[in-house]
Amino acid sequence: MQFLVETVLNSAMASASTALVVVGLALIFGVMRIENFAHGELYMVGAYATWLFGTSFGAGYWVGFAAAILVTAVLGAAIEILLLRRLRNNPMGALIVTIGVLLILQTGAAWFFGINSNLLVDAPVSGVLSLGGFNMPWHRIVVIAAAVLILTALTVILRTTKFGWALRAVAQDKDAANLQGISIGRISMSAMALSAALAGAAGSLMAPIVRISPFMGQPVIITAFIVIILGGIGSMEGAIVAAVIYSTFFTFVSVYFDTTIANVAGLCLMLAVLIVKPSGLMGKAQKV
Amino acid sequence: MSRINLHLTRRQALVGAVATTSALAMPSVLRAANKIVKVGALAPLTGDLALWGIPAKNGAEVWANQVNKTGGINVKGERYDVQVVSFDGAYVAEKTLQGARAFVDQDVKYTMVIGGDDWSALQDFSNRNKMLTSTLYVSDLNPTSKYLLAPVEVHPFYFGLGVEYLRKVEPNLKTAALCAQDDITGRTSLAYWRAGFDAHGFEIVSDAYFDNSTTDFAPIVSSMLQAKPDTVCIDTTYPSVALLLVEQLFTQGYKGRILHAGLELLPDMVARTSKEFMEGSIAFFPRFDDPNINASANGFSDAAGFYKQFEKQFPKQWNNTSWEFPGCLEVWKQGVETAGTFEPDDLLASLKANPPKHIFGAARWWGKELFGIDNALVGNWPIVAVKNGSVEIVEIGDQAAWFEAHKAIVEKRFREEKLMPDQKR
Amino acid sequence: MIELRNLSVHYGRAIAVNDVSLSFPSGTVNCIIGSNGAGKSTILRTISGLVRPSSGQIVFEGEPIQNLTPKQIVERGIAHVPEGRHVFPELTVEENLKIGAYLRADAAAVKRDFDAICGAFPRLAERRKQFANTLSGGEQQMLAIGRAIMAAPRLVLMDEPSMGLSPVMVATMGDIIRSINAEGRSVLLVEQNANVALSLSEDAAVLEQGRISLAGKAALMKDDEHVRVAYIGV
Repeated sequence: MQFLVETVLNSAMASASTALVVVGLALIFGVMRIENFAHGELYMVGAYATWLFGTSFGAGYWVGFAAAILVTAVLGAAIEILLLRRLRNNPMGALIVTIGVLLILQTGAAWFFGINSNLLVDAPVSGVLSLGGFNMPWHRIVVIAAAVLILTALTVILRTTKFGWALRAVAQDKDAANLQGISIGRISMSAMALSAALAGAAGSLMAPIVRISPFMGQPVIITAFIVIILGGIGSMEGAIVAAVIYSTFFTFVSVYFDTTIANVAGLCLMLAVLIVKPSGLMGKAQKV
Repeated sequence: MSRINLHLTRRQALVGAVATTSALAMPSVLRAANKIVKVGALAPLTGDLALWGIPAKNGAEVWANQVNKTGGINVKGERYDVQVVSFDGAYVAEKTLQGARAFVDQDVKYTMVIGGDDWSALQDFSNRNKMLTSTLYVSDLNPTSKYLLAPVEVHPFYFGLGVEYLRKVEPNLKTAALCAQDDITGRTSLAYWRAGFDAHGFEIVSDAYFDNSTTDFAPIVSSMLQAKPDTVCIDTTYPSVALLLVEQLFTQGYKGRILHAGLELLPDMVARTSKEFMEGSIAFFPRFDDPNINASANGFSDAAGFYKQFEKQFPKQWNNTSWEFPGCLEVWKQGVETAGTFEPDDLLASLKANPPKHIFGAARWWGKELFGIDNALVGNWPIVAVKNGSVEIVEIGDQAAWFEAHKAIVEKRFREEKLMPDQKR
Repeated sequence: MIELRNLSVHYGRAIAVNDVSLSFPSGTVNCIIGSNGAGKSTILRTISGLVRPSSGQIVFEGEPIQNLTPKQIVERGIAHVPEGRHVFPELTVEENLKIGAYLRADAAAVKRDFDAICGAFPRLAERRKQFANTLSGGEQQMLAIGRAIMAAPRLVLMDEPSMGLSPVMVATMGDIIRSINAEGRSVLLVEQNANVALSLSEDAAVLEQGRISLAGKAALMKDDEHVRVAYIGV
């Protein structure tokens, strides 16, 4: 019983982190119709920024967290302004450019921080919550809470603010959005910054829990793509639902079998869903 | 990684790269009077495995400096200074092969590699060019590579000694849980661990590989602890992975000893768990600032002094690989001074006839049964245990003797993983 | 108040609008009629800044506007109801309307206009919280017009507002256009359905393959033989 509860909580944590990453990716795809292959690297930059400001400069975890969000947001905006803006009519070119960004960020991280992946970020709250015989580290609960907070805030922004409506408008009909006076450039840049910050936040939250290395973003982006396909391209709600389903499934299979089987099983799950519902759990037929 | 377009020919660029690297690696005091012999460190200096490659190369350089300071190598009365030449193989087949070619061009007399994927890339070339080479992966040895030696590291053959020690100090433990990353290192070593646990009366209740890309280790530890093991073995996991596993074991309520190859991040492990939690955990690499080091590492001329010099030149970069290339060089130096030549065939014959001292003492050539060729220099190996937050040498065991005593079990476990010589390609 | 001077627009090497000169006064409803592909939409899209002209000028209230961005055009007081309506499918009716006021800063004025539109379009008010893609064609057209009005424009451009609507809805559309005009806004309509357009308009022009073939008072044009045959089908 204790074991089951532990696994459920670990699933919740995995879902939280995956949801943050995936929502950012879905946002970019919606607003700019670009699959950002460098998204996993923004997660990685978030983790490194947390280490740099929190541990290395000694300012403490939460300063590191704030720095991670700031750094990745700026990086996201820069990617849009300097690179993607020039490729608006060339989606294939934009895709290739994001792969270039992926390589630059990975190599940059390896260059500056070394390959030696022994960088340690201490959790802001140490210790465990002891409930009837099992221990859950407080930080894992922090991750879940933080993700819920962030996603709630995002939902509020998208549903009630002019900026949020503008983001959704651009995602739904670019020409019509233009006609309302919405600046596509500004919105694209803001969307990239927001998406990057979400990935950076996830990387920062997970930094005390996982191994920090220049390549830590790779499995993250692969999972994110699987989850987006599972949830249905074009649906942010679908992405979150799929993140929870996939992460829970994956965690349970990892515990009761092993992680290699879990990787394969996760893909089988995606395929099974697509056979029954080709557009994903909550996806819609794409308007080309 | 993408290739950079050079306007030089590849050969020119190669020679240029090697010349530059070796110029930078030259000892600061170079006696013009002595002749020079080149040894090569062909190791990953970039990429994921640079964490092994860089300290190994640095260690080789420190060793060369020390040797040159005390007069160099004595070959039939003539004195030679050792020059370490290095090439970044990045653990990538093509680059490693480029390095081998460069070394032959540079007349390198002894090549050192980490082993595993990088050896398989250069095996054919090395055999054809009679490159005397040392590897840290005993599993690289095979009958067609007669110039390949494993003179230092005999991973995973010391693991049996670790379980023997555990059984000695904990006669009542019954069950063990094992895990390792799913790659050649993990599979080979776990096979030997299993044999060790079989041999000393343990029941293995949890035995799993995990994907190399795993980032969250909580599920893996949950799975291990579900079986309520008396002891946990985390094999040869990367230092940061071991740290995360240890942290999870602590969080999830495990109480007992942990067995790991290196316990490299022990101070961080203690910080994240406690001194009491880590007390008694077992590993296989001694601290070189352990007061007993010179006694146990008696095949190395002044291990303590070497450590001090390394710390001075490369502060805070010491890890378990720092002394491994120097260990290989010590063996080679003994061989050269005994044989009176650098030439591979004569040197090899002399080495086989007069087994040099291994870093941890007297040794013999071994390996025919498991590798088809007796090219592993095997002798004693220390077992260390955590006492009050740092490791201390608690036992020294004879690896070959252990193998002889438990040969059948080892073979059975190796067969399961298709590691016996007749099962390999 | 809106004037096209020798306006030409190319798509690649094809000419869509060929040396068009037109002038419409403020305060009135005017129209440009023509068949499919004549270039009517292109003219509106050039006015609202989605398309750049290759030569010529567009002058609005005395200022040249042909090189402004769509955002600047909206700021100048021109709103465009595009062909095919283009409401935001997954924004609610309310969000669609409010986003029409994207550039306006005066929250109170925006609220007043919003309430006014809800009053004028009770069917939209009923469906305030519904997603726009659940509305009928006619309701979407009302929504698109309402959204444009929320920008507080002095000139409203409408691209084929009667397309795909039933005769009853078309009549309703006519009433809406008249009432917009009654508020003091100018309307420039482009239509294939010449009957409706001409009956609403003061001035009119006929566009054929990118060129103006006829321009003048709409009432007179209705009786023109050529127009009747080609565009009214009588």
